[in-house]
Amino acid sequence: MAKKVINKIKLHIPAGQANPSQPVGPALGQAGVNIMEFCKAFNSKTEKDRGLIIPAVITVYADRSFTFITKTPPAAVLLRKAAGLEKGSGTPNSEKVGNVTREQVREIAELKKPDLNSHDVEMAMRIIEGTARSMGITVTG
Amino acid sequence: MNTVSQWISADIDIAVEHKEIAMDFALALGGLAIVEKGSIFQVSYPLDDDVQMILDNLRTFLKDLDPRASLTEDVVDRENWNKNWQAYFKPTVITKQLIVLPEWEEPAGFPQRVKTRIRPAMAFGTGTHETTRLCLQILEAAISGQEYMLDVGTGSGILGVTALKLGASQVDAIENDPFTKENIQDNLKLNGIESGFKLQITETPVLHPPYDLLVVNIIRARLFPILPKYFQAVRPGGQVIVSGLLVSEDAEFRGLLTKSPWTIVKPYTKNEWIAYLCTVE
Repeated sequence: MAKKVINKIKLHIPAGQANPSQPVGPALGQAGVNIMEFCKAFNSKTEKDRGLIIPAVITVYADRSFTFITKTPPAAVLLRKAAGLEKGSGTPNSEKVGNVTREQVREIAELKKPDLNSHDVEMAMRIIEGTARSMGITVTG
Repeated sequence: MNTVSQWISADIDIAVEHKEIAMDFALALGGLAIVEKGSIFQVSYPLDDDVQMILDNLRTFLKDLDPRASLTEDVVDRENWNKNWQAYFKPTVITKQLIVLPEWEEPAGFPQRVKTRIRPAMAFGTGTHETTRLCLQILEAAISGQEYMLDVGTGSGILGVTALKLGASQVDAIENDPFTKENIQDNLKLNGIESGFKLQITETPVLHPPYDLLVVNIIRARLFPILPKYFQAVRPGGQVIVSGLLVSEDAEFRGLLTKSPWTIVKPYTKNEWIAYLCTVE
């Protein structure tokens, strides 16, 4: 019989750097998950992506065992990396802080396709371009 | 090493179309991680001299994105967040002769010869994770008596404590997280160990080779850079137990060992995890 799911927790954690302190510790602790075991598994599986933020969805079962899946990094994180920025613009309409090429947008769209519910790359690219505009990043080429 | 004891936790409520940008900005300002709670997300920062400036910066950014956005902050102290899990910590049978018991279980009620008692807290090693179970299983087979053991990354102390109960004469235990110290001391007391366990909490341990046995349960990214400095720590004819690796990391580990005097005797797997018993030439 399938185990009963009692909770789902969504976290965004730097790859390879989950640790049992705030905010991962309390979020998992409140759900009755063994925090140290999650951190070990997450870090082991995401170390190769160090430098990126990895969203994780943790499914908690009635016996407090858990499973988790990781998703592709948020588009904003990938855009910032592609543009070589530490952070996006605080006033994106008036202050442009960086630039990415259409080719870079296409690469991000290809990577993000599974999580954007889009089989169409052009559609995914339009979503990514919208995110870029909101961050003060221009798209050229 | 994580030595922060207090954090600022900020709950941010913002229109869904701005959420991803806001989360990215919050992390780019030094946020440790984010927890999504429905329409709200929570980001945390170490409580230090810079935190007020970071929060002011974040508030300004959020208001520019969405004038209705709100940020509420709270101070959070370090505590044992694992306590809710404790109710689900059950006795874990490792082998016919070895069991790990939560501190509240009465050992007399279990038939195993060796019973390691653990107080679950904020240190890794309760016997439930595959990597620890594999280590304990191999440890039981590897110890014949009077071994001088090096335990690298001791966590809760579970491997060193069990080694002493199995017959090892002395354990040098190394850990880099200062917040594990109290838990290790509790576990030594729970298991009646008054001597033979020497703990160093440091990034630069002092070794006293040659050891008869080395046990290490650390993930690949942290293990591989430090492993070569332990290649000469165990005497010829001694044994090494390595755990904490994924099955997918097997080839890389074997490649690393070509520069060592260690030879794999047998790999052990449980789900996606792999551990090894090695001998030393």
